Amino acid sequence: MSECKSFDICSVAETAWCPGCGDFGILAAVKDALETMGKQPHEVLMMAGIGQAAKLPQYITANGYCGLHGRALPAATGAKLANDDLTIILNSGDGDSYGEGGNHFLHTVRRDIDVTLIVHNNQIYGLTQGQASPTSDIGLQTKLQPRGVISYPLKGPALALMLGCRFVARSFSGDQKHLSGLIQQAVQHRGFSFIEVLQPCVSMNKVNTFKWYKDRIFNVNDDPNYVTNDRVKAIEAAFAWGDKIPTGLFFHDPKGDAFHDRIPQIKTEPLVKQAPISHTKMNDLFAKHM
Amino acid sequence: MTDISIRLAGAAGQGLQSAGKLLGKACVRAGYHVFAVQDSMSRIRGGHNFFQFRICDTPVWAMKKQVDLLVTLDREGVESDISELKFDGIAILDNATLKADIQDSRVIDVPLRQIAMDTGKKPIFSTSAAMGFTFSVLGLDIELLTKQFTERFKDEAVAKANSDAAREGFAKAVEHAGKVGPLPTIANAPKRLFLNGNEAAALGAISANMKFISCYPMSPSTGIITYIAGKEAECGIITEQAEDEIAAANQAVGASMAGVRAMTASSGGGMALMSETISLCGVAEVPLVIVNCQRGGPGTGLPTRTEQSDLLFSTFTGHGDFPRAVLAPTNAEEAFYLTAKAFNIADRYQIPVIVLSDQHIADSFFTVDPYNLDKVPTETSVVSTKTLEQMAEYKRYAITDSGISPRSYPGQSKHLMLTDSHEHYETGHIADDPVTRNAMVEKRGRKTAKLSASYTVQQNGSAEAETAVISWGSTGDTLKEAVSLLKNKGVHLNHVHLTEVWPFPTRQFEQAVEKSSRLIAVEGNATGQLAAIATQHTGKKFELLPKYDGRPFIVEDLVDALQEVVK
Repeated sequence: MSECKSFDICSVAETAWCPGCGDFGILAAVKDALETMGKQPHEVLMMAGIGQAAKLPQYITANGYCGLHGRALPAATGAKLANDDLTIILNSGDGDSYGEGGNHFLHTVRRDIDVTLIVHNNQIYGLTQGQASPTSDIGLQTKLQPRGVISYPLKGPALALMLGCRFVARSFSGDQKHLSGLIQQAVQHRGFSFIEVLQPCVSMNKVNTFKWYKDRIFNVNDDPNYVTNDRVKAIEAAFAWGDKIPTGLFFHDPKGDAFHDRIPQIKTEPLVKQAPISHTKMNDLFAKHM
Repeated sequence: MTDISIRLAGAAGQGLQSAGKLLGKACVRAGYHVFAVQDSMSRIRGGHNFFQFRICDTPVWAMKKQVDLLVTLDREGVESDISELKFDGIAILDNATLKADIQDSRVIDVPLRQIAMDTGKKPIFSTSAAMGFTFSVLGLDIELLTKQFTERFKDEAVAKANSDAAREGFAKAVEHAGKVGPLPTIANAPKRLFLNGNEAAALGAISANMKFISCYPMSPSTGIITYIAGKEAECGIITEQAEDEIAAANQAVGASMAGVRAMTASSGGGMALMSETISLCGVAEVPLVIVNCQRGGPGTGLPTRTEQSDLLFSTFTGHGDFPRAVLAPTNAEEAFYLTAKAFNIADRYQIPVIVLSDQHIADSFFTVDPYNLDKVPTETSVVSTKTLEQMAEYKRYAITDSGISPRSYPGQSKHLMLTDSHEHYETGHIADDPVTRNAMVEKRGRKTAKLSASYTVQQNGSAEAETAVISWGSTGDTLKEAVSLLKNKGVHLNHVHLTEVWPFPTRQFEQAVEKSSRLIAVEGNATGQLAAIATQHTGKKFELLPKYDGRPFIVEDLVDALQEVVK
């Protein structure tokens, strides 16, 4: 092992990920982004649901939370409102984020909670041994869908854009440098930031391989005419899927405040640092009933 | 001795609830003890509702059936509620408006609508006119009513119009003044609170330094978050309406894990959606308080009615083996203290705690002495920041003799914490070896014995009696009064009442029923859920006196039923 940096776990080498899994690239990019930004591990809370992607908090030196499948976003909402000093990053899979947690995805975007959600999209359920996910392409055959998937795939970035999300991007687990840059921008964004990362599942998805993605992806930001403040154009990019798959920063509106900025009770101090309720205040409350 | 019952009846939307609160508060300010129940149908407007009061000069916690005074604002009140009026009672109604054409010597016909039009020019003031008339019949000081209009309405014109209608109604009643009660103001009476169970639970949570509450609206629990939302700015609390109960519970878990006391509230169906989260709290050892205001189940059941049928659900919901606590307040006094205590138990033991309230407690109004804020001092398992910083090594799930590990929160110090719903090592990292697994299951399990040993069982009546009647939660006060009345009739019963129900206090319960050979469980459910738990723990068998019609127990009914059973 090379030099051990502050977000690395130096003593535990083993993970539950398969050799060649796209999750490694995402983990490396997350750590690189946090190191580059000069964050300290105790300032960071890595949160996740349950799944292979969602094991990421286990493999990084930071505060961590592995809760329930699909339920990381509401837990992150509570954590951020309790302590808005924390930098909160969520990593979960496509099934966790778009399937089980779909309703929470809608409403967390709507609230504009100041956290970063990184969805590891490998278009398959890996940990449960290869069933279709909400993002599987039409026709993908699995043991559970032996005649092939017949539902249309969900486009997470397009959905987020239509819900009014102010930071929407897509990257590829094979391009750590690009992903690290996006994560840094996302963490700096005040409000909900969302990055979908295309990621091969080497064990369970024999169609959407590393090469499959590599042959199709292109970065919209390479086009000097692409602007990141046009939501309609961004939605167009986010819906595009086929021989060419767009990645990059689709949309970014840095103006506007996050959910916690709209709550006067925590303007000066996070909830966790506030003093206990006083007896005087309690007696005032009692007096209203007398 | 003063002990009178009053029923205000009308359709939803007629201001019955406001009128009832004004009457109740006035009586409490006059020095009386008031207990009031609301009976409503699940709809926004229309439908027949009533608000029933029992007013005494000694503490009162239970409802009687027959009323001394009926004030009805709708026709159904004339047709149905009058059957609950005592033979020497009085009914107040506006015959012309209701077109009731009722021939009953107990009825006083008052032109309420006419008074409203003469004073405030709008029919809506009929209710205030009725209140004014009622205050006179009860011999209550009219200023106790008009002063509340001034406190309540910012708009002086509105306050005046209500006061004018009330004063005119009061004046019209001169020949009936003081016929019921009467309730003159008691000199130097101590100040007391008049509030419902949801408000009491909310105040208990606020006093326990709860900082975050998230809920999805569901009757009859919604009053808790609504009450807190009205106070959040001044109290430094965040309230959030979640997209569903799963989100509500998980938001609270996130906030709790991040270091603040957090809660959610719902009714049975909503809590069912939280089952997995309750289990998460069990393994991840995140404190969480859930108030379950029970209503008639199963399914959608009886949304605006009461039942005690979620006890087994609350004690067993959530997959896997893990400790949890279930507390069941009897009334608004205990709703305050037990909710506050729930936060201490959750915090100290790092477990989910369910406070089992019900519609009867949630919506009923109680008279309580000012709460003693020193009675439930804060108890926490969070390590102080200073101690934490001095620790060479910190393990979130360190194995200890008590089973309680030192808790911290992210960002509290340089020490990191990993909260995990997988089985885990002391550091929180995923574990799956049998040695760690056993050690962790046993560590968590060790919390139970200490907790159940700390519980008390309440006992009234005659501890030596051959027959013991067992209750829990909101049935307790009604049964207590029935037991006391039966004692006057020479029927002696040992009343054993549980508010700290789970983990079941086996030793305390066995001691309380030691002398009684016959055990009768009086519960607001069909199957005897507490009896089932008590049998599981003690092997004792119970006869059942169940009630599952969606209505609370009534004192007279219980007296009759118990007299029949034990004779």
